[in-house]
Amino acid sequence: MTIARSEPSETLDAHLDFHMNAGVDLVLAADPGSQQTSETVDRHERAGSLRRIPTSEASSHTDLARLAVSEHAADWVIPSVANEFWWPRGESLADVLAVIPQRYAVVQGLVRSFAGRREGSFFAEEMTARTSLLVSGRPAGDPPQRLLRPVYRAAPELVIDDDDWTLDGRRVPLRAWYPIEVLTFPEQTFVDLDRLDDLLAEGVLAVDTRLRDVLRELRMGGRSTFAVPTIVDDASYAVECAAVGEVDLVRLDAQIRELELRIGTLEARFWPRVRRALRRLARRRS
Amino acid sequence: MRLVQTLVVRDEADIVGAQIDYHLNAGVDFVIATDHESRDGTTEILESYARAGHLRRIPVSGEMRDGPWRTHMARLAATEHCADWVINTDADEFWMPRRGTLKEVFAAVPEPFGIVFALSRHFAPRPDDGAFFAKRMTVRVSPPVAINDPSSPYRPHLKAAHRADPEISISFGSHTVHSHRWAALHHWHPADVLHFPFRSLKQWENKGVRRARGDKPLGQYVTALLASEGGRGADRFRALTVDDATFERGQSGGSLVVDVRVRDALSERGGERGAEMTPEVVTDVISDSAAVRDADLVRLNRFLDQLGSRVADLEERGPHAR
Repeated sequence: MTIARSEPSETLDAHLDFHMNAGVDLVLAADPGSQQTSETVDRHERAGSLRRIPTSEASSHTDLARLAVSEHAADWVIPSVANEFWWPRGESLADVLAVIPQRYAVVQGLVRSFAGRREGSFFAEEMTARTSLLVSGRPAGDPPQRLLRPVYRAAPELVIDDDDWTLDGRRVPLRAWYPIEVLTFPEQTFVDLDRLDDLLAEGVLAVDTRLRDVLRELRMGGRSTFAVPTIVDDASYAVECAAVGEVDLVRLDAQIRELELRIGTLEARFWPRVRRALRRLARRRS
Repeated sequence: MRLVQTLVVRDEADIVGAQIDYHLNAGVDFVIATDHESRDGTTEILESYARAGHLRRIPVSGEMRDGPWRTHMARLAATEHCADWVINTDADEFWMPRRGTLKEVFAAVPEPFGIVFALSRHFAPRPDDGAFFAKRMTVRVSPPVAINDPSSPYRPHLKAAHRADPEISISFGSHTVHSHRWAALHHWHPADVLHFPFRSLKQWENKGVRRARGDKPLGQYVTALLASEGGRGADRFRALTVDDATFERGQSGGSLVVDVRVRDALSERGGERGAEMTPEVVTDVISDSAAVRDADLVRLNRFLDQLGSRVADLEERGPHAR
């Protein structure tokens, strides 16, 4: 997992504890040098599960991801920020990623944004209502990518581009199923908190205490396990995956037309080469 | 009409006899079975049907070659067994016509159509109390939309049946077939394929480990392999099993339904005709048919992504690449 910018220690501590428990092997964090450390950060650094990289050596997710691959033999890289908690829909992050067919280079996580105040008490205790797509679906006008976050299969020259996860189609994403949920705790609330109960009643938000419960267990010094979803859970989750709307006929049509144009361009440069080669061959024979 | 069934099987002794009995009773006239190195008694079961004149067993060994084996059997059905129609099956699948008999639904297909697709309906494992699988496994998965998880055993798919053709080709898993002679009739599913992929811990672990290491490292098999290697097989299979609490939750939400068609067909109540279509089952069929089309769109999109990646590779090589 890579973290490319400095973060408030409250979420960073929880972030590190959570992801080490969830199956992340190492966090690489860009360190500008001025950042105060916490006991948790120091503990993870001493345990070898966190490596701070001076920003003079690596400052972007791409720099950090390449280090993860070249120096730490990463199989998958999760570019993250400290207020995101990558929740595996399986026993661990490593487990859900291990079964992804080799042809996919990008796996996407479904974003669950939590609403609430972050003043005073611990954020995970306060913020236990999050977005749900079961009733409301994808907000009108939002592209599907607004609801998704990428995880990348390791590659030697890995490039992490926040605006283009597939590198213009060169990397194949797993579409329409998201084996990780990204529990996100924004600094600023995105709903009218006075309407929280109404939004819960309408199904726009859902109560979700999973992170709170895990962090409680971890703070008690234990480990927390992740429940493998049942078929009933998966059936319900499939409705939300469909609501993201990543696959539809209009998009497919656009994709086919774009491919056709690109193949046309390739053909335009291919056939003259073939003709030239045939002419050369004919000259040699004559 | 003469209806021939093909079957690829390996170590499915707990179900293969019931599967053959069911299909012979449902109108299948003859079975051609490719037996891939079975060691659990499957071979002896197949031989007993061969001795009775119902089955031709083709022993094979080595690497799994699903598509070529199925193709070989489908062609044999045409050339040596006088088939009019062929259904291509696995040992855990039971073809059940929507109405009438299998022969009646195939007889209703007008030429030049000669390829039709049955809708797979997946059954979930239930707690193993030692009872016969068909008595225990009466809970069918019926999600409101397609589950597109590449590691799920419950992804919607179709299975092909076709008129006899000595030059036909069958794909891996017989989800598609290619024939120059017959046209495919899409989006009309004359039969359900009632599918019982995982029935017990032992069977799930054996099948998953073997296939993940061999011919078909699908996510569902890799899951079994990793769990088995990590000593977590029992826990992982428990999560796959629908216990009573999960069943109640699924039934009230509509994602699990009771379906006793195979149980009844394998009891003395069974006959050649399919079970009666209640209004609930009709609604359910429409919903599952829509799910399989949605799943096909997703598969198409994923395939296009791969094509796009290959085109991008070609583009990167530049105009002067050799």
